[in-house]
Amino acid sequence: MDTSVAPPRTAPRLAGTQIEERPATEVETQLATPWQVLVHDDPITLMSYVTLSLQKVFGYSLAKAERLMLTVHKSGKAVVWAGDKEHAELYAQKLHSWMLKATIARAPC
Amino acid sequence: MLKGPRVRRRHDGDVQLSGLPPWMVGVLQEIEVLLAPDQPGSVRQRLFPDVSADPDEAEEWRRLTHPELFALLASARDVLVRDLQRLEERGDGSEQEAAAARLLIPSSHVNAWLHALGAARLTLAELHEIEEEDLHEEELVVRDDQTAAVARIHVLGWLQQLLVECEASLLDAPTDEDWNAG
Repeated sequence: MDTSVAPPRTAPRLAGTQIEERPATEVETQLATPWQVLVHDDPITLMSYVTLSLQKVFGYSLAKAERLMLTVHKSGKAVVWAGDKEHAELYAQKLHSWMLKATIARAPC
Repeated sequence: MLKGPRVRRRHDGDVQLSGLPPWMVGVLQEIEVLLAPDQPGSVRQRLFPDVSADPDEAEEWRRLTHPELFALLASARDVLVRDLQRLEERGDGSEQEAAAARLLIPSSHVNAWLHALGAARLTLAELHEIEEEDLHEEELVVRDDQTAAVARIHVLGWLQQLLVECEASLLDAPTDEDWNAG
Protein backbone atom coordinates (compact mmCIF):
# COMPACT_ATOMS: atom_id res chain seq x y z
CA MET A 1 0.00 0.00 0.00
CA ASP A 2 1.38 3.14 -1.05
CA THR A 3 1.20 5.52 1.85
CA SER A 4 2.74 8.42 0.12
CA VAL A 5 0.52 11.42 -0.17
CA ALA A 6 -0.09 12.52 -3.65
CA PRO A 7 0.11 16.20 -4.17
CA PRO A 8 -3.22 17.89 -4.58
CA ARG A 9 -4.25 18.62 -8.09
CA THR A 10 -4.41 22.28 -7.38
CA ALA A 11 -1.57 22.73 -5.02
CA PRO A 12 -1.47 26.09 -3.34
CA ARG A 13 1.21 28.23 -4.78
CA LEU A 14 2.29 29.98 -1.68
CA ALA A 15 5.94 30.06 -2.34
CA GLY A 16 6.81 32.61 -4.88
CA THR A 17 3.30 33.97 -5.15
CA GLN A 18 3.43 37.64 -5.82
CA ILE A 19 0.85 39.77 -4.13
CA GLU A 20 0.27 42.74 -6.24
CA GLU A 21 0.05 45.94 -4.32
CA ARG A 22 -2.00 48.62 -5.87
CA PRO A 23 -3.08 51.99 -4.66
CA ALA A 24 -6.55 52.28 -3.19
CA THR A 25 -9.03 53.48 -5.69
CA GLU A 26 -11.18 56.49 -5.08
CA VAL A 27 -14.22 54.27 -4.55
CA GLU A 28 -12.44 52.30 -1.84
CA THR A 29 -11.39 55.48 -0.12
CA GLN A 30 -14.96 56.75 -0.15
CA LEU A 31 -16.29 53.51 1.29
CA ALA A 32 -13.82 53.67 4.15
CA THR A 33 -14.57 57.26 5.02
CA PRO A 34 -17.49 57.58 7.42
CA TRP A 35 -20.21 60.08 7.02
CA GLN A 36 -21.20 62.51 9.69
CA VAL A 37 -24.58 63.83 10.73
CA LEU A 38 -24.36 67.39 11.97
CA VAL A 39 -26.94 69.43 13.84
CA HIS A 40 -26.76 73.19 13.42
CA ASP A 41 -27.92 75.79 15.87
CA ASP A 42 -31.23 77.54 15.39
CA PRO A 43 -31.71 80.11 18.16
CA ILE A 44 -35.48 79.80 17.99
CA THR A 45 -35.47 76.12 18.90
CA LEU A 46 -35.47 75.38 22.63
CA MET A 47 -32.29 73.84 23.98
CA SER A 48 -34.30 71.33 25.99
CA TYR A 49 -36.16 70.37 22.83
CA VAL A 50 -32.87 69.71 21.01
CA THR A 51 -31.78 67.47 23.88
CA LEU A 52 -35.04 65.54 23.84
CA SER A 53 -34.91 65.17 20.05
CA LEU A 54 -31.41 63.66 20.20
CA GLN A 55 -32.58 61.25 22.87
CA LYS A 56 -35.59 60.26 20.80
CA VAL A 57 -33.81 59.90 17.46
CA PHE A 58 -30.60 58.18 18.59
CA GLY A 59 -31.61 56.73 21.95
CA TYR A 60 -28.84 58.74 23.59
CA SER A 61 -28.80 59.19 27.34
CA LEU A 62 -29.72 62.53 28.80
CA ALA A 63 -26.07 63.29 29.63
CA LYS A 64 -24.82 62.57 26.10
CA ALA A 65 -27.70 64.41 24.46
CA GLU A 66 -27.10 67.45 26.67
CA ARG A 67 -23.38 67.48 25.86
CA LEU A 68 -24.15 67.45 22.15
CA MET A 69 -26.85 70.10 22.53
CA LEU A 70 -24.41 72.39 24.37
CA THR A 71 -21.85 71.93 21.60
CA VAL A 72 -24.50 72.92 19.06
CA HIS A 73 -25.41 75.94 21.15
CA LYS A 74 -21.85 77.13 21.77
CA SER A 75 -20.14 76.16 18.53
CA GLY A 76 -23.03 76.53 16.13
CA LYS A 77 -23.00 72.86 15.18
CA ALA A 78 -22.04 69.41 16.43
CA VAL A 79 -21.38 66.02 14.93
CA VAL A 80 -24.10 63.90 16.48
CA TRP A 81 -23.43 60.64 14.66
CA ALA A 82 -20.92 59.07 12.24
CA GLY A 83 -21.12 55.96 10.13
CA ASP A 84 -22.24 54.80 6.74
CA LYS A 85 -24.02 57.11 4.35
CA GLU A 86 -27.28 55.21 4.26
CA HIS A 87 -27.78 55.48 7.99
CA ALA A 88 -26.55 59.07 8.03
CA GLU A 89 -29.30 59.98 5.58
CA LEU A 90 -31.88 58.13 7.61
CA TYR A 91 -30.88 59.93 10.80
CA ALA A 92 -30.81 63.29 9.05
CA GLN A 93 -34.37 62.73 7.86
CA LYS A 94 -35.46 61.78 11.37
CA LEU A 95 -33.83 64.91 12.76
CA HIS A 96 -35.62 66.98 10.13
CA SER A 97 -38.90 65.44 11.23
CA TRP A 98 -38.07 66.90 14.65
CA MET A 99 -37.47 70.28 12.99
CA LEU A 100 -33.75 70.22 13.71
CA LYS A 101 -31.38 71.68 11.17
CA ALA A 102 -29.40 68.62 10.20
CA THR A 103 -26.89 68.08 7.42
CA ILE A 104 -24.67 65.22 6.39
CA ALA A 105 -21.07 65.42 5.22
CA ARG A 106 -18.18 63.12 4.61
CA ALA A 107 -15.94 63.01 7.66
CA PRO A 108 -12.66 64.86 7.17
CA CYS A 109 -9.76 62.51 6.48
CA MET B 1 -57.08 84.93 40.81
CA LEU B 2 -56.34 82.94 37.66
CA LYS B 3 -53.91 80.14 38.29
CA GLY B 4 -51.13 79.55 35.79
CA PRO B 5 -51.34 76.72 33.29
CA ARG B 6 -50.26 73.37 34.68
CA VAL B 7 -49.22 70.10 33.14
CA ARG B 8 -49.28 66.62 34.59
CA ARG B 9 -48.99 63.12 33.23
CA ARG B 10 -51.87 60.92 34.26
CA HIS B 11 -51.56 57.30 35.30
CA ASP B 12 -52.70 56.19 31.84
CA GLY B 13 -49.83 58.15 30.25
CA ASP B 14 -51.96 60.92 28.81
CA VAL B 15 -50.87 64.49 29.44
CA GLN B 16 -53.25 66.98 30.94
CA LEU B 17 -52.82 70.70 30.45
CA SER B 18 -55.07 72.74 32.69
CA GLY B 19 -55.63 76.36 33.55
CA LEU B 20 -55.18 77.52 29.95
CA PRO B 21 -56.44 81.09 29.59
CA PRO B 22 -58.39 81.98 26.43
CA TRP B 23 -55.58 84.04 24.91
CA MET B 24 -53.25 81.05 25.19
CA VAL B 25 -55.85 78.80 23.57
CA GLY B 26 -56.10 81.40 20.82
CA VAL B 27 -52.36 81.23 20.18
CA LEU B 28 -52.61 77.45 19.93
CA GLN B 29 -55.54 77.65 17.53
CA GLU B 30 -53.49 79.86 15.19
CA ILE B 31 -51.20 76.91 14.53
CA GLU B 32 -53.75 75.47 12.11
CA VAL B 33 -53.23 78.46 9.81
CA LEU B 34 -49.50 78.82 10.48
CA LEU B 35 -48.82 75.26 9.40
CA ALA B 36 -51.21 75.20 6.47
CA PRO B 37 -49.79 73.45 3.40
CA ASP B 38 -49.46 76.70 1.43
CA GLN B 39 -46.53 77.99 3.45
CA PRO B 40 -44.11 80.25 1.57
CA GLY B 41 -40.89 78.75 0.27
CA SER B 42 -38.76 80.50 2.87
CA VAL B 43 -40.73 78.87 5.68
CA ARG B 44 -40.54 75.46 4.04
CA GLN B 45 -36.79 75.90 3.74
CA ARG B 46 -36.53 76.94 7.39
CA LEU B 47 -38.49 73.91 8.54
CA PHE B 48 -36.70 71.41 6.34
CA PRO B 49 -33.34 72.84 5.29
CA ASP B 50 -31.07 71.35 2.67
CA VAL B 51 -29.09 68.41 3.93
CA SER B 52 -26.10 69.12 1.74
CA ALA B 53 -24.31 72.13 0.27
CA ASP B 54 -24.15 70.33 -3.06
CA PRO B 55 -27.09 71.60 -5.17
CA ASP B 56 -27.67 68.28 -6.92
CA GLU B 57 -27.62 66.32 -3.67
CA ALA B 58 -29.88 68.87 -2.02
CA GLU B 59 -32.37 68.63 -4.87
CA GLU B 60 -32.32 64.86 -4.74
CA TRP B 61 -32.81 65.00 -0.99
CA ARG B 62 -35.84 67.26 -1.31
CA ARG B 63 -37.33 64.98 -3.95
CA LEU B 64 -36.90 61.89 -1.82
CA THR B 65 -37.72 63.16 1.67
CA HIS B 66 -39.93 66.23 1.51
CA PRO B 67 -43.17 64.44 0.64
CA GLU B 68 -42.88 62.34 3.78
CA LEU B 69 -41.63 65.20 5.97
CA PHE B 70 -44.47 67.51 4.93
CA ALA B 71 -46.98 64.70 5.37
CA LEU B 72 -45.68 64.18 8.92
CA LEU B 73 -45.97 67.88 9.61
CA ALA B 74 -49.52 67.98 8.27
CA SER B 75 -50.38 65.01 10.44
CA ALA B 76 -48.92 66.71 13.52
CA ARG B 77 -50.95 69.82 12.75
CA ASP B 78 -54.13 67.78 12.35
CA VAL B 79 -53.54 65.97 15.63
CA LEU B 80 -53.14 69.27 17.45
CA VAL B 81 -56.22 70.76 15.82
CA ARG B 82 -58.35 67.72 16.71
CA ASP B 83 -57.12 67.70 20.30
CA LEU B 84 -57.93 71.40 20.61
CA GLN B 85 -61.48 70.69 19.46
CA ARG B 86 -61.90 68.51 22.56
CA LEU B 87 -60.77 71.28 24.85
CA GLU B 88 -62.93 71.59 27.94
CA GLU B 89 -63.78 74.84 29.57
CA ARG B 90 -63.39 74.55 33.30
CA GLY B 91 -64.26 76.82 36.16
CA ASP B 92 -65.38 77.03 39.70
CA GLY B 93 -67.87 79.80 39.20
CA SER B 94 -65.60 82.79 39.29
CA GLU B 95 -65.33 84.71 36.07
CA GLN B 96 -61.61 84.11 35.63
CA GLU B 97 -61.67 80.44 36.57
CA ALA B 98 -64.57 79.90 34.20
CA ALA B 99 -62.36 81.14 31.37
CA ALA B 100 -59.61 78.64 32.00
CA ALA B 101 -59.60 75.48 29.92
CA ARG B 102 -58.35 71.93 30.29
CA LEU B 103 -56.86 69.93 27.52
CA LEU B 104 -56.07 66.25 27.39
CA ILE B 105 -53.25 65.15 25.09
CA PRO B 106 -53.17 61.37 24.56
CA SER B 107 -49.69 59.94 25.13
CA SER B 108 -49.51 58.87 21.48
CA HIS B 109 -50.06 62.51 20.44
CA VAL B 110 -47.27 64.12 22.47
CA ASN B 111 -44.63 63.85 19.75
CA ALA B 112 -47.02 65.41 17.25
CA TRP B 113 -47.61 68.29 19.65
CA LEU B 114 -43.88 68.78 20.14
CA HIS B 115 -43.35 68.83 16.37
CA ALA B 116 -46.24 71.20 15.71
CA LEU B 117 -45.20 73.62 18.45
CA GLY B 118 -41.61 73.62 17.21
CA ALA B 119 -42.67 74.13 13.60
CA ALA B 120 -45.05 76.93 14.57
CA ARG B 121 -42.28 78.77 16.44
CA LEU B 122 -39.91 78.48 13.48
CA THR B 123 -42.66 79.60 11.11
CA LEU B 124 -43.41 82.71 13.17
CA ALA B 125 -39.71 83.51 13.37
CA GLU B 126 -39.28 83.15 9.62
CA LEU B 127 -42.40 85.12 8.69
CA HIS B 128 -41.54 88.02 11.00
CA GLU B 129 -37.76 87.96 10.60
CA ILE B 130 -37.20 87.36 14.28
CA GLU B 131 -33.62 86.91 15.41
CA GLU B 132 -32.16 85.58 18.62
CA GLU B 133 -31.74 89.02 20.20
CA ASP B 134 -35.45 89.71 19.70
CA LEU B 135 -36.22 86.86 22.08
CA HIS B 136 -34.12 88.29 24.87
CA GLU B 137 -35.65 91.70 25.35
CA GLU B 138 -35.91 92.28 29.09
CA GLU B 139 -39.39 93.73 28.86
CA LEU B 140 -41.43 92.73 25.88
CA VAL B 141 -43.93 95.36 24.79
CA VAL B 142 -46.27 94.30 22.00
CA ARG B 143 -46.23 97.29 19.66
CA ASP B 144 -46.37 95.73 16.20
CA ASP B 145 -46.73 92.46 14.32
CA GLN B 146 -43.15 91.48 15.01
CA THR B 147 -43.30 91.92 18.78
CA ALA B 148 -46.68 90.17 18.79
CA ALA B 149 -45.02 87.26 17.01
CA VAL B 150 -42.21 87.25 19.58
CA ALA B 151 -44.83 87.03 22.34
CA ARG B 152 -46.50 84.09 20.57
CA ILE B 153 -43.14 82.36 20.14
CA HIS B 154 -42.58 82.69 23.88
CA VAL B 155 -46.04 81.34 24.68
CA LEU B 156 -45.63 78.36 22.38
CA GLY B 157 -42.13 77.79 23.72
CA TRP B 158 -43.42 77.81 27.25
CA LEU B 159 -46.00 75.15 26.41
CA GLN B 160 -43.43 73.17 24.48
CA GLN B 161 -41.08 73.31 27.46
CA LEU B 162 -43.80 71.87 29.69
CA LEU B 163 -44.31 68.99 27.29
CA VAL B 164 -40.56 68.43 26.88
CA GLU B 165 -40.13 68.13 30.65
CA CYS B 166 -43.10 65.81 30.84
CA GLU B 167 -41.76 63.60 28.03
CA ALA B 168 -38.14 63.69 29.25
CA SER B 169 -39.22 62.33 32.60
CA LEU B 170 -40.17 59.09 30.85
CA LEU B 171 -36.75 58.55 29.30
CA ASP B 172 -33.95 56.66 30.93
CA ALA B 173 -31.86 58.00 33.75
CA PRO B 174 -28.16 58.72 33.08
CA THR B 175 -25.78 55.79 33.38
CA ASP B 176 -22.50 55.71 35.30
CA GLU B 177 -20.70 55.88 31.98
CA ASP B 178 -22.51 59.08 31.15
CA TRP B 179 -21.59 60.67 34.45
CA ASN B 180 -17.94 59.63 34.09
CA ALA B 181 -17.78 60.90 30.52
CA GLY B 182 -19.48 64.14 31.50
